[in-house]
Amino acid sequence: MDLLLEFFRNTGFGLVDYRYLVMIGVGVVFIYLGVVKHYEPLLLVPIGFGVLMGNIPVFKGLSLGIYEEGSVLGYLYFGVHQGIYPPLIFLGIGAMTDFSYLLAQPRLMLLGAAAQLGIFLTFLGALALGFAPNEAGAIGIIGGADGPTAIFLTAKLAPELIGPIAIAAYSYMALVPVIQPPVMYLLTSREERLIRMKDPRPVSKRERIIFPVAGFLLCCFIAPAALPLLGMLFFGNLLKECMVTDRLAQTARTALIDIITILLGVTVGASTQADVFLTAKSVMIFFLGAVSFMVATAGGLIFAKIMNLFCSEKINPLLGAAGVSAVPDSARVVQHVGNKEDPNNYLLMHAMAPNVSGVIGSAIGAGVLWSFLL
Amino acid sequence: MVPTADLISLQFLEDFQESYLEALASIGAPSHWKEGETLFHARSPAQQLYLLKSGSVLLYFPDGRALAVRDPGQALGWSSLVNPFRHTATGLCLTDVDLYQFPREELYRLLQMDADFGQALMRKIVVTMHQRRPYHRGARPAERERR
Amino acid sequence: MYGLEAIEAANGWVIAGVGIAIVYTGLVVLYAFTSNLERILSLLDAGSRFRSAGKSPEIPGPAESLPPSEQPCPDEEETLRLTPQQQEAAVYFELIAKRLGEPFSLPLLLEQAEKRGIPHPFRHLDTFLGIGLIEECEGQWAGFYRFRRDCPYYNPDGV
Repeated sequence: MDLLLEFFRNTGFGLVDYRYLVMIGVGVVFIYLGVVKHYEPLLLVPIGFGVLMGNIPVFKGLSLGIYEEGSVLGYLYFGVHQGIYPPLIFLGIGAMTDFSYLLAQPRLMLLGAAAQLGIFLTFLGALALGFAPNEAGAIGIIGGADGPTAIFLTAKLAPELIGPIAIAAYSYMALVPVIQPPVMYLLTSREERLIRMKDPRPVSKRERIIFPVAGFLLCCFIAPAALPLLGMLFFGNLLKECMVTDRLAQTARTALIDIITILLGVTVGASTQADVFLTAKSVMIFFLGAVSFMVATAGGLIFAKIMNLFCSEKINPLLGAAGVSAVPDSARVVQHVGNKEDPNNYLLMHAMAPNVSGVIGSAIGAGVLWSFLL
Repeated sequence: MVPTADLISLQFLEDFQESYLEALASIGAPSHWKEGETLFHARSPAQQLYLLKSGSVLLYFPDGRALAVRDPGQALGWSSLVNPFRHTATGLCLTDVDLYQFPREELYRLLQMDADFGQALMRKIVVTMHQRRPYHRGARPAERERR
Repeated sequence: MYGLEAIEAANGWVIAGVGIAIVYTGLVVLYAFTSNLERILSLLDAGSRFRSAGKSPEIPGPAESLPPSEQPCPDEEETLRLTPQQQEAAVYFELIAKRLGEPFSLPLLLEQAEKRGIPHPFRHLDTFLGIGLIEECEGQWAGFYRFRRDCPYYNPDGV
């Protein structure tokens, strides 16, 4: 009888408390959102299942939990807390990104810069709410709206917050169609939303090949701390554009990125344990995350309006919202809002320019915060 | 409506009587297509016969064979007059293209009204069909030498 | 510590200000480079055209020994020389043709050219078909094509 009781005490049923159950519920919700509602399924399903794996109550000492030495999950988590997975994801992103929209309309790049205001204002907001500087930097990067960048910087600055920050970042990226439109309507007039953009010029292959090399050199000379992310981003893009490394580009944008996404999602989910996630800090992180997206959207919109004061050829200020680097969701939101005002106004291809420049801008922002706060 | 004088210069209609050309001109319409546009898709219903005025059209078949139609006066869309009235190839504009197009129903009306005209037209169609037969009826070769 | 006091204690204003400035500087420099890239490449093309304009077209042997129909027509050669954009496109088409293997299907070639962002692939294909750079195979391979690397108008080294 004693043996049976001892056995029961060492099972999940014996070790469970309400916090594990809440987290298991969170994991199930993520899986539901991914599978049934199709909200970012490639991210929410691995993260959701990872949350389930990380919150099974286990007997300590058997190297089962993600934070225990020698555990399988711990080994897989190595790529997250050492910042290995995010640059590899950026390699895949670079191999599938088309910078021609940016090359055709370089001035729209500046809207991507403006949207990164969300990172630094959120950083200040987090400091004001009592977070330590390194934590505030990790929270601020949520405003960059880039999952791998957020995980990379958080792993360097505040690894204990990877779980809530990753989940906040990816959740808000999925909620971009809900968060952005009210800000867009608030800060633009109907007249401004009706502005039509001139068709972009065709971009030669030579420009597309030169850009990743020159862009990498210029950006990393200015912000060397952005090297791991931007290096892989531009390298992936060069593999795609040069045409002589098709096989490598194909692997980077398919098998490699899928493998890393699986490992990243599961281990980030598994690292999200109740004692870190179910805290007041997490609530504040979620609140600041929402604010950061709104501030970033506003930053891009307002900068576009400022540019219109000086440019003879007006920019539709809605494009500023696409500077939030949730590629391609924020560009699609811009297209949708613009289309509602004028069904013949096609802003999507123009919106892709600030969208992809936002990826570069958020990587530079992450590098800057890392170098200041380490 | 197309000027009869424009049709006289077309290779496809070179030995047509003036009355036939006038009849065709009365039902024809000019059309302009941009580089990269698709005129018609393989297996879609063939509604128009086209004669090329200028530009180049690539005809490509479901088995991957292709043929560039570049000489003015050549005919496209002969399937509009031949059972089962579905295009055998996809027509893709390689350049900006100007065409004369003749609706199937109107062509049939002309064919029914004048048997001689019908014969002359179908003779031309048969010649075109034979020229393009190797492309859409050819069996795919068993091996492809990879260099 | 909370509020402005916390921001000041952590040098928050300096970090945020310098951070925003660095992000802007990076993207402004990139913007300046990108907006001038097309112009720089056009100047380089003009330079290489200027350098090659001095070279007269090759005339094979004494003209009198060739019958009139085979004598080269300098005007024709001038008109049919590929532009730098066409030469560049021809190089990419050759790469795609190699990848597809010869003989290849033209619709596949176009599909790959479009996917890789080669501008005006249709127009270039028409030009290359016209000059024989891409030529149709015969016999059982009619309707499939090959890339003629020995075409006199093709100069991949000049790109």
